[in-house]
Amino acid sequence: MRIVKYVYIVLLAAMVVACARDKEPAEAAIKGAGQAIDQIRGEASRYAPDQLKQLEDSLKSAQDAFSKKDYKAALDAASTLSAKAQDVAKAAAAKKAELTKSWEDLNAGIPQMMDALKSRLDILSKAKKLPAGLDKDQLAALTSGYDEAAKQFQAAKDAAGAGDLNKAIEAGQAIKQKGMEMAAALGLKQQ
Amino acid sequence: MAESDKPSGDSWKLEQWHEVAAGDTLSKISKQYYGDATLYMKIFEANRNILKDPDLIKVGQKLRIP
Repeated sequence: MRIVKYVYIVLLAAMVVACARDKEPAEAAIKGAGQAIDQIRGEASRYAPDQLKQLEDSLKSAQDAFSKKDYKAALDAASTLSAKAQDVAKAAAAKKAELTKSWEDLNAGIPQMMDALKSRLDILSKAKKLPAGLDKDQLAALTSGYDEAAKQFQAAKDAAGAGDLNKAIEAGQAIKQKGMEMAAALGLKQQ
Repeated sequence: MAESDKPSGDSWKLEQWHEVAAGDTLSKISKQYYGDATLYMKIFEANRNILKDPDLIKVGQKLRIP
């Protein structure tokens, strides 16, 4: 009976030592993971928000386990987070490159579209009579639509300049659609 | 008078083209597209690369309508 008691105590002590042994590595892994996530947060929050949230949730799990003195679980949860943060950074960079390309296409194309619309509207504004299928009210609406699109394009460029490519692209696509509708009303065709 | 397409492959380019038919003048073309014959010089200026004189246009010429 006494031997069993000793074995029990020894086993318990071994478990305590094993757990304590993971404390410092777990603490270091959590700290490292937190730093790695902080480093990528800026771009990731903009271009890979879902993946960033997963990382932050995993870090929180590791911190919770550490608080409960479950150092092994904390170490397991935190040890891969730095590498995962780099994967998220790569995904964010890829998404940013994709959005940048989309915006550059819009930013190069919209002025061409706007120039063609403005040219036609300027000429029609000087006409004493309008062509068949277009009356003064329609021309006024198209001119107003052009002015609005020009303002929206400036806002899109401002958004892109501020780094909000999603907003810039959304606005740019809306301008393109509106511009193409105006072009159709003016008889201009997409070549 | 015939409106013609002149594909260039640029999806952003918005243009309108007119293929000159027998009896066309720039004034007539201007009237057709702008509703006002007096604006014919706009078409002439936009096609200075192929037109030397607003009174001399040839059947089959493709004119850009700005």
